[in-house]
Amino acid sequence: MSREGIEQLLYMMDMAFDAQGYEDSLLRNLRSMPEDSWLWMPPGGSRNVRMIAGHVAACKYMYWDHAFGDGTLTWNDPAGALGASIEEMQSTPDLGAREPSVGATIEWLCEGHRLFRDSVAALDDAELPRLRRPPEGGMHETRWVIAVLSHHDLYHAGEINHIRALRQGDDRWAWEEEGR
Amino acid sequence: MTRAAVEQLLYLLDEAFEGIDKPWHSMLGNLASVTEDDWLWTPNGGARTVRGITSHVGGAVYLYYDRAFGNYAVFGEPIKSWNVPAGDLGVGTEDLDSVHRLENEPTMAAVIAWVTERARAFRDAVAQLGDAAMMEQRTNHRGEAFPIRWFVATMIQHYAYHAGEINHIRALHQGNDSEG
Repeated sequence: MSREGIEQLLYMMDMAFDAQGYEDSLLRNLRSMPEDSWLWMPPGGSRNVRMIAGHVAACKYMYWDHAFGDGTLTWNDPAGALGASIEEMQSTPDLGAREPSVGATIEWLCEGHRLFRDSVAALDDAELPRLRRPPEGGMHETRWVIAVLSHHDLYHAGEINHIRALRQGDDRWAWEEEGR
Repeated sequence: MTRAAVEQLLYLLDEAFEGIDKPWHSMLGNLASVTEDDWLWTPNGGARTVRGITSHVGGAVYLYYDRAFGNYAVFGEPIKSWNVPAGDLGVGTEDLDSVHRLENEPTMAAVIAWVTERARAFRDAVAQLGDAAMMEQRTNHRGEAFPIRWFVATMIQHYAYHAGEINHIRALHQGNDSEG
């Protein structure tokens, strides 16, 4: 049973979600966003950081359930114990009194990542071409499903960074600060 | 020579830069919806343009190629200059990253073509490797030693992360900020 390919995909998934160094991971960027800016919307924008984090988490649960589980989870199901639906977490800018804490939202995100990652870790390389059904429908190779979610973390980490930079007024390159 | 691991990283690299199977989170997929009008625009509170971010990606993959595969022939060891010529664009890599408008601003198409050329050179070098070579050590521009697979994973991260930033700038300018 070969696992060389799976191990590389897991390596990439781990770097994308929570890199241990200075690399651009999702959690690193979420941690750099002050909690009081979590719901801030940039001028001309229609998404805040909670909506983006909620979207990334929502996709982890939906892709996990539809590609590896029984495919019964819907966008209208509860987002864990957060008191909101999966859909609300990604599309409602402010849930008012029902707004979950930043910590609880990140915990929900991490649990979704763990479920998806554990499903990938249980595979061997022979499973990578096997067709699975993502929540949007159609059939795709397993490695396609893994690639989509891995890139998804990073893509939205970049969007979160840009919102944070606009909010904090420090939209510049790290090397400009370091004065290399 | 086994290549199971290399093939999976190449797949992720291709999806992150070109988005062959799914363009949503890729560099070229997101640049395709950027107009000439978006290219040098900055949002309120922002400094970096789509041109600056795109060029930064090109400069980084040029540097990573030099460190991992190019024997330091372009940037030197230790680094002699960060501002090396960006192909035949008539400007340096660091000029092109900058937040300032250039006197001899290259066209959007020419910059994207140069970045694509640099990304393909890096990809072609990875494609020559076997799995064992992925674990050979190289030093990055900070003098830190990492296996070659780290250089590849970091470029995958970099493409998807900055594709997200590009999307956010484009969406703010075009007034159509939504999940993608």
